[in-house]
Amino acid sequence: MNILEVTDLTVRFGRNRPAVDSISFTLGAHDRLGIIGQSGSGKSVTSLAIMGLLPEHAQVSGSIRFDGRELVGLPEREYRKLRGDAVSMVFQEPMTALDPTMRVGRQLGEVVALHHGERRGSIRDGVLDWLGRVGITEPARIADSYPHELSGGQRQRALVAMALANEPALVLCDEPTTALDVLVQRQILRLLDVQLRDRATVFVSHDLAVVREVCPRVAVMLEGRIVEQGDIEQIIAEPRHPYTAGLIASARIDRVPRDQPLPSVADFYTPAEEA
Amino acid sequence: MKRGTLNLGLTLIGIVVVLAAVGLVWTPFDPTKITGSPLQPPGWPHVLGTDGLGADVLSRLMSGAKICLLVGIVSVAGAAVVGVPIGIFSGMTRGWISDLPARLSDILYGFPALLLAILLAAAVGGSTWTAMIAISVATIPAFVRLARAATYQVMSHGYIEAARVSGIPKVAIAVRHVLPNIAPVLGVQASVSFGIAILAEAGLSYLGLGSGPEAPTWGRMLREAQDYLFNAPILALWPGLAIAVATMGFNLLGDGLRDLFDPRLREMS
Repeated sequence: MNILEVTDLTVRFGRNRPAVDSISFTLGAHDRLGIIGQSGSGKSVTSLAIMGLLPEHAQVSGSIRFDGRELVGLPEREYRKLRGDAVSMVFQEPMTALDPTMRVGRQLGEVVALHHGERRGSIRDGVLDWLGRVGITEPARIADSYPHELSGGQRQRALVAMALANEPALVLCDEPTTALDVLVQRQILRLLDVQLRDRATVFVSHDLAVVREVCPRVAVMLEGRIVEQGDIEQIIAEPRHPYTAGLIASARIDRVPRDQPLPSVADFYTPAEEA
Repeated sequence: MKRGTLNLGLTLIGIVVVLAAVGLVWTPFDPTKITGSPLQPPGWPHVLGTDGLGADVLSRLMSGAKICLLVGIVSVAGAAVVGVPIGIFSGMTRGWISDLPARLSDILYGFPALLLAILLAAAVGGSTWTAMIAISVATIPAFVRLARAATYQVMSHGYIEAARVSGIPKVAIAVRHVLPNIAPVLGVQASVSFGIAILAEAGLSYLGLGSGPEAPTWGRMLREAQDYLFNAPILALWPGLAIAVATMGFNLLGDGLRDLFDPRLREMS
């Protein structure tokens, strides 16, 4: 059974061209789907729509069914119970996604306590346990630190712990490694790969190589639409859309001779309004 | 040096606070009684001389410092307690319910605080309490506007979105995430408002709309000194100086705090 079924989802802000234009995809309980696309392609709006975090003036149509339950039009009160508990999110910016005025342990504890109103002592234990599980070596010291005292990798690990603390069935990762340097990026991807094993995951990124590390299936988004969707290896081998072909070519700089200019997506695909 | 402003402000406020604190337990003479012959020049035992009726000026000044700080604390705290939650609420919501308190504050803000305080004090009658309430009401819009603007800014940060994604209720987000992050700007505003409140209180007392005759305030002393301006001009100097020191102290503290909290300004120094 599919845990997430998105059917003809359209999100429109005002009278402009829809930010997300009738996209459909499904996700099994242990599936991972990568959504790849450039800025403004609608990939982040899609994840916000699933989280129910779109601004009030957004017009949403179509259907998002999570665990058999329709999420489009779900009252905020109901949504709040879902968020952090059944569905959660890992953010892009570990710098800003942690409150600078609050100790890391308290922020993590806030999430744990919210959905499982346990005693204080057991919350602290849960916090330390989770910090350990995401590979933080000194959980007690990190729990008592403020975000600015942590490295980028430690912050991202803490954010992963926050997203997973309540064992959600579905996790949305919005560019979780974009702000990190390559080495830390690899560590975090490995961590996500392990921690997301028994969950459904939507992994949003602009980086095909990153998506390939964690997702067997990918959807390519362009101007609000999914232009191509399927097995990632197959798509890399035989891209059907010129935009996808451009993405793949621009990721393979090792194949470019020294004196040649680097390929870019624009060599393969030009957006309609600029053509 | 940037800290200079802060330190000077703290020093000036320190002088007023010491005056008030000592005045709380001890004054050289009873500030409300005639303790010598009128209009004595500064000397001994009346260090700053006596006023037109023969009361000790230093004692009255110390007693006035107490009232001045009391009015400042109560009116600024009152305005913050009312204004900040309204501002945060308005900053966290969208639509007319968010705009209404903001527009009302704008209207209220259009009146100078002192004018509004005079209006209220005139309507209800003058006393220390009406002065405090009047100044407080007049200060509310400043806090609403600032809290709203600062909340808007904080709401765009990732940690607010992260908190919402975790399913944390709005009230908890407001108290635990928004308030601590806008506290520095509110502190600066409180300090500036404190200076304005002291000035407003002095103005109200000067006009006879503040505290009654039993409570010697700086504004009242200034008005009484006016009658003897040609015989004893120095009588007007003391309360005038006190008002200037206190107001300037809080304004400098506000500027100093702003420099301290604003990272962009800090980097430039």
